[in-house]
Amino acid sequence: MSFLGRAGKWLQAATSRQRLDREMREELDAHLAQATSRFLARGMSEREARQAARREFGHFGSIEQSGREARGAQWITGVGDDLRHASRYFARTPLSSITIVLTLALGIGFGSAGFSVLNGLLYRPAPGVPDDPQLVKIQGRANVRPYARKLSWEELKAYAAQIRTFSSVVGWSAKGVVVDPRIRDRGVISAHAIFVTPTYFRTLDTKFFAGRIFEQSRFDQLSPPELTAIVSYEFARSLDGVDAGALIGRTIAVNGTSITVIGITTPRFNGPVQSGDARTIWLPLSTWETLTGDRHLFSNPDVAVFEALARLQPGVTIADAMPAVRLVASRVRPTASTPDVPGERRTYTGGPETPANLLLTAELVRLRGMMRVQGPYRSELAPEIAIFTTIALLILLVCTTTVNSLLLGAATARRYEIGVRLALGASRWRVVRQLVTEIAILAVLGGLLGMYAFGAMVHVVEVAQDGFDVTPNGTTIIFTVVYALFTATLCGLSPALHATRTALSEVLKESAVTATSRTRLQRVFVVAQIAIAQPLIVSLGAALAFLAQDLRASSHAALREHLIVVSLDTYSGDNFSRPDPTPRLIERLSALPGVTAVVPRPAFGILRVSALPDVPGADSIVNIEADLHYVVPEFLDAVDAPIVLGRGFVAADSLLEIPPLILGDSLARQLFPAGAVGQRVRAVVMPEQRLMQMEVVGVARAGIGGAYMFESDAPMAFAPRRGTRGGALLIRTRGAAEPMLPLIRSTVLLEAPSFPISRLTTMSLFDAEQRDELRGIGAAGLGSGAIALLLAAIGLYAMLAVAVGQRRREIGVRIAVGARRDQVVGMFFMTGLRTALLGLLIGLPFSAVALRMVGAQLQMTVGSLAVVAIIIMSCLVLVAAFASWLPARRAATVDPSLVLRSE
Amino acid sequence: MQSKSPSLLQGTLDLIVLQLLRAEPTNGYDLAQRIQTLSRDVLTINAGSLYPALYRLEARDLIRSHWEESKTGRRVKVYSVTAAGKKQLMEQRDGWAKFAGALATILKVT
Repeated sequence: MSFLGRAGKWLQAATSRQRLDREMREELDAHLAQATSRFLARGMSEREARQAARREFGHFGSIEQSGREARGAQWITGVGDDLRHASRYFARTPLSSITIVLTLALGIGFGSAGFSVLNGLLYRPAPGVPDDPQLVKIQGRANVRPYARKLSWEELKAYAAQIRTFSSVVGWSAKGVVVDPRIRDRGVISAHAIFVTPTYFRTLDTKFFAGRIFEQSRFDQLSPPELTAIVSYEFARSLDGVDAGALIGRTIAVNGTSITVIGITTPRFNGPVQSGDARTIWLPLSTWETLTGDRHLFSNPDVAVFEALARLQPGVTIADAMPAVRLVASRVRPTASTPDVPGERRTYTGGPETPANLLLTAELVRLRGMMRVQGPYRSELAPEIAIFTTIALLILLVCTTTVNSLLLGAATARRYEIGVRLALGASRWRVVRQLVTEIAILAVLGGLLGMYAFGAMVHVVEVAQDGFDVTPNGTTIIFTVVYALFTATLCGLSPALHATRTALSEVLKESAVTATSRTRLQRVFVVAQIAIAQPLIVSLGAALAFLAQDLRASSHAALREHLIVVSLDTYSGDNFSRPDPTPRLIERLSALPGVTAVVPRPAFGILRVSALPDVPGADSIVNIEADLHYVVPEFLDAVDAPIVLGRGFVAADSLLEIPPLILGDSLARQLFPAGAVGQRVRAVVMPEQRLMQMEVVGVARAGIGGAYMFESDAPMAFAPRRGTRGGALLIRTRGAAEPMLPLIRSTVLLEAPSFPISRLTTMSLFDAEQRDELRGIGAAGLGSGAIALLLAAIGLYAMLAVAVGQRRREIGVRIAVGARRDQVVGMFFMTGLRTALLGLLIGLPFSAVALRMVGAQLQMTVGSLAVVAIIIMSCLVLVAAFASWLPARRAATVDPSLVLRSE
Repeated sequence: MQSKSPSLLQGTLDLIVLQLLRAEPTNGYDLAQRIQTLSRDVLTINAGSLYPALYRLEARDLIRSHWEESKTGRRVKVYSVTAAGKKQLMEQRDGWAKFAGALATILKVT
């Protein structure tokens, strides 16, 4: 019989079990009756005949049992029985079941969430992209960093000509554009444009939320320009006040040219390669010249900005296609290569920068969330994977140890029930299987719960939003279930074997052998757990205390109420070639009522002071880092950082041979306690990485950080600013800044209509957002600390519960010979507390190291660190005491007369 | 009882059951009686061996069963051989004949 046929029979036997049992009984009864009739016919009395028939027949129950087994579906019905027993047991002990599920959810969930991220990165295509083995990315490679390169139009066409290998080829190039949605009171916005060959959507088989694909269809159709666009769902949604679907057919302007929106892709689709920006607009390649003004892309083989993917002909594999791809790549001139570094367009021009051994190749990789590390480059991810796996295994170890203890405690409590089942003829394997089934159910429940909980958390992290698909799919669910079953066997098998080992007579006599070695092992685990959890909790606590401190006071809170930041995108589209809008904006904004000053926001750099050449006697080699702000002369007054020594900047500073420098007061005190003005420093200035000598001309009272910065905790220095382009302005208002925002916005829209506003907020609104974010982080930190503490407490509880269960006889004897109940409780309580204290003691050095690291990072004082540490230690001891007291109390309920009688 | 009679060789019960059911479909009790009679009381099959064998053969689709009324008016389960069972019987019979022939030869020549 085929496997399917047999499986069908099994299923039938399992599902119609009651009917089959009934029929079997009827059949066996009929057999007995027929035998009885035979004996009656031989002249026996009715009673004798029945007895003889029974004797001949044998044991009814065991025939029934072997009949059932012969039907072949015994294991299915057995599992069904196990599940029924398990659900009954869970209903009886809800608290411990929930604890086990949650503990396992943590252990398994963390692992499976990590797996789903890895799966999303390495084995699944980006959201909305079909998982089709015929779809491949044509990845340009170079033998020098960063090993990836883009393709020229010429190379792209050469791939498309390989019609025996590829059924279609797609090329695209991304560029920032300025979009005017032409909605009232809605200014222009920056968007991520992808110029695509007309084959793009058809090849990718993209699903649409609404609308249709481009009319042009030939791969290399470059004219006439088809002035249409397809936008991402997220782009459509970002235009508030517009129903996403209603965007179809509307005309918008891209870099000043009217374009009709003809399609909206499904949510989360953002192309096959992650871009980091979900506000995407796809345009046909034929619009490239019109929208960008670039006339060289298609004619100059040295311009390489394309990425490509292809659909392999049916039956062609990646290995089959590779020779054709390598051949095309080998014909590319090395000068045509542009390395694929975001924001950096370095071209190997054949000049001194081109490595002599530069070698260009190309390869085909399946469409995956993270294609950069596909193929031979996958090993680049190895360290991250190793670290994550270690953490996941560590967490799993802690969780399984805890669950193991809990199960052992439960098995000890159930040894009477187990003993009776064994005595009634259940095989040991049968009982073990039932116990393991119970924990397997809990593990699968916990695993799925954990997977979804962590999955949701991963989703919150932005990385999940674009490019990677980490939503649970079949593979992740299967992984989780297998992982859960493995975990269940890991932590459920040994308590099950232990519980079924005890002979029945001993159970009934209530004299179970104490498993001292096991308790000792468990104790080691609990100690280790507390020792590991402690530094974690302490450093989390310190970080939380710091956050609380940070939330309470911002040193410049009052000033930040009066500051507005507005940033314009001056680079997207053709804005770079437009005149700088900033001088005009400064003029207009300054004239607004309620505005006291408008200055360009400083450009930021880093000043690394390496030497103080003119300080006699001082150790002249230093290594101090400060934030360097390039500012205009009026800046310091506008942000309430007055010059307290020396002078401010003046227009003529640009003529000085040695560049002038103004130090913030804290930096001045740190570098030159005897007076800074007139001193010289030698410093490396970032980002240019130039070593230069500078002369301190003044000291400004700036405190730590700045009123106008988003994040700052470093000392500050100022240098004169050259040029204003950069597009960010700082506006100082007389009254509260927030009510001024609409006026500022409309003024900017009016004066600089072609420049998208990328940020418009007051410093205090920004602080509020930041505080919300910090609060979120704080809550997450508190949550993980609480979980670590809870786990340790559960471990301690389980250990003592097992000990009390196993030492009932000893407790009974002690009470019988006169020990008071509180003495017995005290004995167990002290055991628990001693274990906890041992764990704390071992963890202490680790905590100290962790605290030092956290403290250095957050610049906390030793005093506040000590307070935090003491508070947390006390909490730990309290929790440990509670976790010990609960099971210890149970020792007092042992009835000595019962225990001694059963001996 | 079986203990008094020679024990059945492994697998021969299936062969016997299939052979007798092919000759005439019948219920479990009659089958046991028939085995005993035909073997002249040499083979006694108890219910503990017979019924599991019947269920096993049924689960493998070699025999099938239906309920009918017996001569005494009692409902009994009657078994008959399926096409697959007949094929299996042929194979087993051939195998058994070869085995018995070989055994007889050995017993004769030594």
